[in-house]
Amino acid sequence: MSAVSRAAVVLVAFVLILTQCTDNPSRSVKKEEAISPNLQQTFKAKSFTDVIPYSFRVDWDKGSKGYSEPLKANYYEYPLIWNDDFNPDALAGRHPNRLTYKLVAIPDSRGGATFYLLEFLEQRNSQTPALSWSDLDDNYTGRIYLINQQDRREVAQAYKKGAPRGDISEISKRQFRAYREGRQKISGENCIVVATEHYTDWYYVHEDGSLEYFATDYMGTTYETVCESSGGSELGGEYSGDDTSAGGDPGSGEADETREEHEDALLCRSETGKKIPCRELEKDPCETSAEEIGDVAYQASSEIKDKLSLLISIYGGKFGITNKYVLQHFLAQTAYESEGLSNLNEDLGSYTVQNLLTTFGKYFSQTDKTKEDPDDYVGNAEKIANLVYANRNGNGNIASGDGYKYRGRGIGQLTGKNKYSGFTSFYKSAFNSNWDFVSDPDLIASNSDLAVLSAMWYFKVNVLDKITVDGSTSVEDVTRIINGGQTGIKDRKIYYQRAVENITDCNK
Amino acid sequence: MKKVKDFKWNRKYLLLFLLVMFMASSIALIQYQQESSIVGTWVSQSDQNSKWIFTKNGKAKWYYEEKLNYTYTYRLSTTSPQCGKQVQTGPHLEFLELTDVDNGFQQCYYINTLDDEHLSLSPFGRANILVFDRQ
Repeated sequence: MSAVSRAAVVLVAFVLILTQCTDNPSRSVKKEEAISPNLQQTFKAKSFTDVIPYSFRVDWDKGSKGYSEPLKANYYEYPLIWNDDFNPDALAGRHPNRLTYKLVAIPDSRGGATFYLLEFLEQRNSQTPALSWSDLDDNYTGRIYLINQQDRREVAQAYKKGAPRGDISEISKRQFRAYREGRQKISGENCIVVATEHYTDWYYVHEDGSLEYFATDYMGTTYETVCESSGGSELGGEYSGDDTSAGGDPGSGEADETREEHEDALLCRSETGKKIPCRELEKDPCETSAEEIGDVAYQASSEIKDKLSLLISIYGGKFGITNKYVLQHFLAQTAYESEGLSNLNEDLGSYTVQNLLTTFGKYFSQTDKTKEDPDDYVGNAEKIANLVYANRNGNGNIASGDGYKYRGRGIGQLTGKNKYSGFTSFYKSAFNSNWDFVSDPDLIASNSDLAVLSAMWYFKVNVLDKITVDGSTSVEDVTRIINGGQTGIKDRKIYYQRAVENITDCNK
Repeated sequence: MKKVKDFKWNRKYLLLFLLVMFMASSIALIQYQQESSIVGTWVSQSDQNSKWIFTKNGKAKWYYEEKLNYTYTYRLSTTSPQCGKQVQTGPHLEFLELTDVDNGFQQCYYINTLDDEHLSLSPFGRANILVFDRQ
């Protein structure tokens, strides 16, 4: 080999060595360079089981190195490999955002490291290739969170087209409880799953301290399983999954039902959050079972019985249903008013001419020309309602159509614009909702949750806020408020007696 | 001459006075007729056991299976407020206000029909209608 050749070889070798030494965060590094084998052994995936519910292992061979400005430290970033089908990748297409996790290790001086999970919440339309914090694609739009093992977000940043838009702060958390349709068989028991959807609101915090709303994250859903067994009802069960009715931003998780005993408590957990004992979920004081409700109102559909049971159990306290006496009267009255909890819409009747003259004599006459001719109205319930219920209970005039629009709905027959407005205000305040039943009154009948909740609200405002309901309260006293008269008092007493016999303890 | 003039003026005032008296008595008569028409015994069409009796002395009594359950004072009017709340008024709108003589509990109704044969009431804020036949 000539001197020139030797020099060329040395030069090439020098260049190669120089290239290897360059601190390029985007390139792959050999695992021994990224982190020591000992350190890999110290890493325990289980330490992140409270952060994400997915079972994973780390792909130590595909690490990359970078420098984190927020952390002021070098770090190593590794992809995760999912151990089973319950993982974020399996959710592709189900959410507007793409959820990706990586492991981040920040070596310490003792040869160990602090581990984090890096969460990419990328808008699906940004369509970047494999994600890397150290080499973020120019198209990346979304958020990046660095989460420690205590489930705390150490870094929370928003990006648009690869450029940081700023830090974001978790300002508030909200939750919305609902329940999953239908029943599910778990361990041979007849169970209903109550879901609580968790949301977190994120804001930019400007230098002057002002807040600018950024986004709302759907953080996952915890599920409480209410089971009916021969020995009565019990609470428990673990259910992690996605509820497609969830609003807000993306979440993750596929329905994956398991049941797990942990000491004496059954666990509920979110897809992205911690496990918590189901018994710690908020309970209201007056729980009742669908079976008990069915023993009061035989005609009630399974759907209404289930929903009444769940909503009373969860929200009873909000509506003053806090003892068995109140619950007994509430069930007796709503059962009568809704024909045994079976009718969610007001029966506007099929009036004959004579009916109209008898019932609405101030509006109809066959001789008085200042009144309406009943023949023009027979068979048209909407036209009748708009005439006779105009300018009542907050309704507008005949032309407004309010008389028909705000007809009786729900198991408590919510009636009149005033009541729809009152329930809207209550609902917005109590459930942080944007629903407006004045603009969309049909929801009260079409949504069985609302059909029940509107009745609970009416009972609170019109009965419980006016009289004390206890063991000495008579059916007559409640009936005269609900009915305005004594109509059906015998049947109401039958319902009440059934309620007394079957609703014996709200708190079981 | 002055006396004749005074007499004419007095006669004018007298006629005006009589006119006012006539109008007032007419209004009172109308109101009396309205209130008097509710006086009587009414039996619920949907539940024959329910009977309401309105008396001339302004009392209303609710019976169920001949047992007296509640005694009220009653008031018919076309004005606001009713039961302590502002309400819409206008053509066709007449109200019945009941006040429990024992505890002051109040209930208000829209009167849909009130004639020699029928009384039809809609409780405020409710969908149901109470229809009675005069007994």
